Amino acid sequence: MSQFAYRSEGPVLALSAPTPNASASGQAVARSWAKNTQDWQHNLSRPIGFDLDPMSLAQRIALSLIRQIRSRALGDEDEGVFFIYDNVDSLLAQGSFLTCDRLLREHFDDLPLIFELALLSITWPAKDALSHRASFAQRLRARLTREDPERVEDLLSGLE
Amino acid sequence: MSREQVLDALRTAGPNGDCGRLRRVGLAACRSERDGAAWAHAGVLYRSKAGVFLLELATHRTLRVLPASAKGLPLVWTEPNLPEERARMIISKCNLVLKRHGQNAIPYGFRFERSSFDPSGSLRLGPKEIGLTCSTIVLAVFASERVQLVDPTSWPSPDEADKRDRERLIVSVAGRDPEHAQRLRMDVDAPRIRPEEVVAAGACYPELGTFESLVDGAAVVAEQLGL
Repeated sequence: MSQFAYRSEGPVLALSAPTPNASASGQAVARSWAKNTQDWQHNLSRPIGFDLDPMSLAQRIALSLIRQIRSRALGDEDEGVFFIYDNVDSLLAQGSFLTCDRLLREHFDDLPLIFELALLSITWPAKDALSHRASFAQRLRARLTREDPERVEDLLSGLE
Repeated sequence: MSREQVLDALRTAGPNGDCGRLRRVGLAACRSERDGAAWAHAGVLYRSKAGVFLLELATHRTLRVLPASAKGLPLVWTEPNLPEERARMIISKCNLVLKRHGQNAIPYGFRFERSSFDPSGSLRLGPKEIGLTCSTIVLAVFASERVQLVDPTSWPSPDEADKRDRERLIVSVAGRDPEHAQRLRMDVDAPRIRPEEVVAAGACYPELGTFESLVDGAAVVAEQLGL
């Protein structure tokens, strides 16, 4: 079976292309091959999670990322920040704004401050496309005002 | 910004390139020499768990990270007055830029006003801009984290020394990429932001550095580098 790598929203997946049934007659093989290929191409044109609408797919990927961000917050913070940068801007580069918006709806105020700052920073260039970014920034400002009022402006400078 | 202020903010690496006084991230310059000529070279100096490193555009399409101790001395830097978290985010951006452009990706270019790194760490060139220099890549990395250090539009046309430095660089690029060298030659009159000025800009942040405001500070940096 041929293997093809396909990158959609989320990790690279390997899809298997169907091959003709060697035991069938020539015409039947051709028809079967055409039908299978059509199905396979149809699947290829759709993102992973074939039965999901874009919203559910975005939700699923975002929840996976949220879990990973939370897990990284327990370890090395700098690696966690790099994880956010690397993954979120890959999503933005793919135009996966629904997923990014779902991330920004999440409350991360139990995590180190730098995680929320990193999310705010990395989504800055797409701020017009992310409807939940402004409320995320407001929540972060409220958190800073509560926890670290003297540094609010320095920390948020240029990020909102 | 006065000479004294820059002198006060300027840090110098100790013997063996020891950068013990670096807190997190700095704007650095070191002295480079070849064939009897000496000039300053800039980079982003940063501290990670593994040590102190310099992210530098060494030359056309050569972006790399080296341990600070591997750079020649003297090595000087200033550290912009940033919150710890914002400094660490700049380091993450350095790592992202390196990941996206580690090999053969960032071309050299003299003209600089609006080039920056987009969220994916990829270089986004401004209008009529064809690449970055060792100085402007430092500014672009910081700007991509919304830390604006200078107003590039305030720089004047280059002087004769700047043009000589550029000619030397064009010759070195021509050996590897004659087509790009030709494009560089067309921009030889573009304003030049020098490494010394970038280092001085770190001392005056959050004030936006202009050519006029950084002239004296840049002279202090040049003196420290023996230039």
